[in-house]
Amino acid sequence: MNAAKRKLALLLPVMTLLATLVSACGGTNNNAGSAAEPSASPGTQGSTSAPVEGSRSVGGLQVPIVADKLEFSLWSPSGGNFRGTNFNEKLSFQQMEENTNIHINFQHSTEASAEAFSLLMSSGKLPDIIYNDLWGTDSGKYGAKGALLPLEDLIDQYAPNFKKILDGHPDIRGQITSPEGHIYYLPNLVLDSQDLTQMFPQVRSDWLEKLGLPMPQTTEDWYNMLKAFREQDPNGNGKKDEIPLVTVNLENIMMLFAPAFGVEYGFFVDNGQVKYGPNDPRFKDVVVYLNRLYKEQLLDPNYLVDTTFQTLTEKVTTDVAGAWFGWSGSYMGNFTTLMEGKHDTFKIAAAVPPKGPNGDQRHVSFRWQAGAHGLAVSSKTAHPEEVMKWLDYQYSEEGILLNNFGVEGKSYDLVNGEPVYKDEVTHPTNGLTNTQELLNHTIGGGSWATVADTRYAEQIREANGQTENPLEIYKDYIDFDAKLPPVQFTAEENEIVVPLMADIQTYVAETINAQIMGRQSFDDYNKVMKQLEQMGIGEVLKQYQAAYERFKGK
Amino acid sequence: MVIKRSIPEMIFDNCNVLFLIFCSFLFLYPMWYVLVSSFSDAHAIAAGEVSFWPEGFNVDAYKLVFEDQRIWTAYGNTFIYVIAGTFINLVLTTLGAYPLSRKNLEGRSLIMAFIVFTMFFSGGLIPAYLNVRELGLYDTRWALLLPGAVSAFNLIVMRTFFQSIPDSLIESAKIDGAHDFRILLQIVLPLSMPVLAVMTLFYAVGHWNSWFPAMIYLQDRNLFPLQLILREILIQSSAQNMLAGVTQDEVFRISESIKFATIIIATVPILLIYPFLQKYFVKGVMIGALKE
Amino acid sequence: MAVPLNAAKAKSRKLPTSRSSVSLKRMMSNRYLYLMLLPTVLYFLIFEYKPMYGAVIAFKDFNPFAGVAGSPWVGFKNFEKFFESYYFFRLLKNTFLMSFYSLLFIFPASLAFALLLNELRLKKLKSFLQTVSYLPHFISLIVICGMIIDFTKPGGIINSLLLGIGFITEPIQFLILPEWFRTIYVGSGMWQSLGWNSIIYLAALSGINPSLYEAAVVDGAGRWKQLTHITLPGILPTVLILLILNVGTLLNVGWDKIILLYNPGTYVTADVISTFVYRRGVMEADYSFSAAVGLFNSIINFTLLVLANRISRKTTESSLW
Repeated sequence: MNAAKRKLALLLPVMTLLATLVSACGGTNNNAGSAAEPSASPGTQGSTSAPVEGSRSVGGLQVPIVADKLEFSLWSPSGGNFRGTNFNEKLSFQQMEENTNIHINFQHSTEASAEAFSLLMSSGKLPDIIYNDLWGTDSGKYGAKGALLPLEDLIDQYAPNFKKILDGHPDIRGQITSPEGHIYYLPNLVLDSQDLTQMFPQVRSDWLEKLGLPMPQTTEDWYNMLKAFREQDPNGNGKKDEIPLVTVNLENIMMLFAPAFGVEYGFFVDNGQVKYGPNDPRFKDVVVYLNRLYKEQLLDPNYLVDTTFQTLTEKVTTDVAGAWFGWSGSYMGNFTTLMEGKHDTFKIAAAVPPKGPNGDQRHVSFRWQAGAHGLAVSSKTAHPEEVMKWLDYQYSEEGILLNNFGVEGKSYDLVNGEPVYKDEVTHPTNGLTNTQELLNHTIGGGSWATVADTRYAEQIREANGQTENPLEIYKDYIDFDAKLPPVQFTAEENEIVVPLMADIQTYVAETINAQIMGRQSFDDYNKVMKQLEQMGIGEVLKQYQAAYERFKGK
Repeated sequence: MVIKRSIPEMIFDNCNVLFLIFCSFLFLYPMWYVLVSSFSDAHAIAAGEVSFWPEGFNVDAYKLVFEDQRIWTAYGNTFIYVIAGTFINLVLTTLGAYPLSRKNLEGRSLIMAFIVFTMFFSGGLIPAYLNVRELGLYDTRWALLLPGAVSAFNLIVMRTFFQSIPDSLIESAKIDGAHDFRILLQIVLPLSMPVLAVMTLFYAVGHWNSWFPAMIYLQDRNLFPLQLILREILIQSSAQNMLAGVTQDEVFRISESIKFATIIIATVPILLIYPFLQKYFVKGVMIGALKE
Repeated sequence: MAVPLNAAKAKSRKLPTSRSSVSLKRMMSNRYLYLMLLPTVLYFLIFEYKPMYGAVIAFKDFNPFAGVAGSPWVGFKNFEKFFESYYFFRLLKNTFLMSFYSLLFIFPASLAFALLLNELRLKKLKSFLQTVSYLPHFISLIVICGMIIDFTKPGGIINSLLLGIGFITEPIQFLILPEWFRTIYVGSGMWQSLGWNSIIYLAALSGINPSLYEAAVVDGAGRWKQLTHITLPGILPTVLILLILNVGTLLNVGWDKIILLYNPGTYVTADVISTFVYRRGVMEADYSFSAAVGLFNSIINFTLLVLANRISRKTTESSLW
């Protein structure tokens, strides 16, 4: 990790230099930008520039943003992580409307958001603001098609809060800039490096104690532990109903084990070379290992069908699941609260990433400071300036509090200047978990175009009775150099990568699953690699390498 | 006429009866299983103890489903789509079928070909979606009512029926000075009740069961039909999202029975009207397929 | 209102001058009929033909933000991409097999079911059976797939039953195993449509002149003879027409049931052209490519239909047109 940090530090000056260059370019463009505006927004004169009477400054941004109420449309999935059917039901957005004088018409899709998003984009008619999970890779693509508004100039002009963050954390700019040098979306941000860890291995530590086992350190430890879970009836009901390792998809299992064999399930970086895991000879060992788990029923035999979080929760709360790879809040915290008072010993502990037979050991489930999810602006919006200001508000101190904590006095109180959740939120009595209850009040700092507040996770975790931060232990296993950064492709590169990867991904998903389930022989793993070669993985890797080098050299 | 049955014939007849009764069991049992499961305890279902009668009889699942406002909103929407949609279907299908059934209509075979062609060829999903957006129907109830307003197949069925109405009736009305709209309303339609009944049934059931257009054309949850909510519960297993306010624990206890209860609630209206309309099916299908 | 009458009179009085003027007159006399037809024709134009024009994106590199007209032409590139695709033959094979097996099993089963029903002498039982057998047709696909998922899971009723009678010793993961997918698809399809498909045969059966049977009885023909000599020939045209229709849709497998049931584990057998189009077009936003694949599928279907119709017309004199 030390090496990684050092490399990152070396990058910083480069990034800063770049950032100044970009903003300098932006500066020269300012006039052109504002000259074009009135034509794009007929009938909004008067709302531009001059601060509204009785306005105040929020980190340099004047609110209310407009004197006469404006309405923007914003498309976003609802439900799931977002909870609720219309975001305007959340107190945070009501308060935000009051503060900014901008009303948001939320257009929500159902949960099938990949379909809904794609269809929305196919229409060519977009709402003012669009949420997407994959702007990190999609924004450049749609930006080049002319769907999205380049934001870099607008940021310089109208977004003092966001700009301040960019200037204070120079590497963020590189993470969200398209190959052509545009910024097309404002990302969710995590500024504190210890919060970058996402999912991690979690184990029923009370089962370990009961069976007298230590926390697993290596892949062999994991095998032995899971084996013991399966055979020694840790839940003590006399039935062999334990499902030692549960998951909602294969990807999570891969994140747990593949790095121990030196690879990943997708793209990763090996000494500056972009590689595709299934195309690496070492991947065979992963398959062999997982096949062993599957064959001995240590890996949930239903893992391909039980793909909802609900089914996983059921397995955990009915005391049959022994280990999984998941989030701190929605898995560990959630399960702990659900089992409170219903189980005498139920306890979950975080395990270190397993060390493989060749000593490989790293943790791959972490994010970059700029998330791939966030908000982009339609190129057709009639109010680019006001939209930008509204977006900037999300990154102001006030906006960050609203998005992370909700409305003061309703979901949190200020104690010595620090926001502290109210008891009704941390210990709800209405049958909801505290995360769910919180999301009735606000959107959640981790899912929106805003800054995720460290204090949010901390307080929820403590409310759930976890005193130490489980994420702490992964700091040492994170290798920034081995993870593929959020590279973006040019239109030409996309043209090559997208169709080839569509077939390759289908092939890999099928083949690897079949081999794990023992339905297809993996003795000759070279065959898979040969097949991938035939399907054009070499061509794909070339594009990835180019994009990666461009990213690094930026 | 009394026919004496030979012994092999009697054996065959009896076997046939038994076999067909077994078939009807196969047709009914899945629904029966769903019904008894909806009244059963979720643990009993999970343990495979439910077979013919409810185990651990309770109506908790129904209570929860009935308490859920979204189910009722969706129910109401579905009724709107079924009633308004079927009405539009019937009007447009009739207006298309009647003129095309008149033999003296110049160019009718051309227009028929124009219509029949759509049965075998279509622009595909994306163009259809773009079309709905361009027409400004997106995220409105019209998006579920107008696309698919006429089924070419049903139009053919109806036209065939109209053709069976004696020309003399229509000609004599014409001589009496009635114009075509009047003839259609006062002479043809009253004679066409069976085919109208069949069309109503076909279209109404189609609307009742439709989910995909709603999934791609609607965003506003207040417009969602029942099937879309069902999809969330049955296929995506997100019953807990539906039943906010119920503790997680509760949801797990009855989640299985909730699924079954929603199936029942969503299917009951069809099961209720169905036996009464059933006799028309044969007629409808016969008209449509045999004569064309 | 008097106009049609006048026109009719005029027509009867005058000698036909030319064909076109006669037809023009007839068109005038039918103008209310045309007016009546207008909304329906408009519907087909707007909601069926206009999207067909949209299918030209198959020959373009469609960019939604440039519009259909503004996107550049690329000729057959998208089609070539599909033909060269690694999955081309598998998709064809899966699509064909899925509907071939449906045809192979459901088609004769519906016919047999109708014939057995027809032989039934207890009228009450017959009508009860009909009612019951049509029922599944009216149950929504969502509900049916929900039931399939629930029934086939390891703790589900099918596994419990098979375990109970000792047919298997370990529960089968039906929805994960590719070799079961077609069975589940066709089996549930049979349940859904067996009764409904039989209606048409029952209708045809009821259309056979009863005097034929009476004469056969007088001649001393048994039930089997009656079946082979009167019943089957009587419904043969119906059977053939349906067969043509079915052949015409051999490469037309709906994706909705499949996308509700499949997963990467079963792609091997479950992935068909329409699901592929759905994934590529809707999930991965490759609009032009998926339009090309869809168009290809439509053309094949149409060709198959025309071929089947021609063969049938030549050999049996039954045809759709």
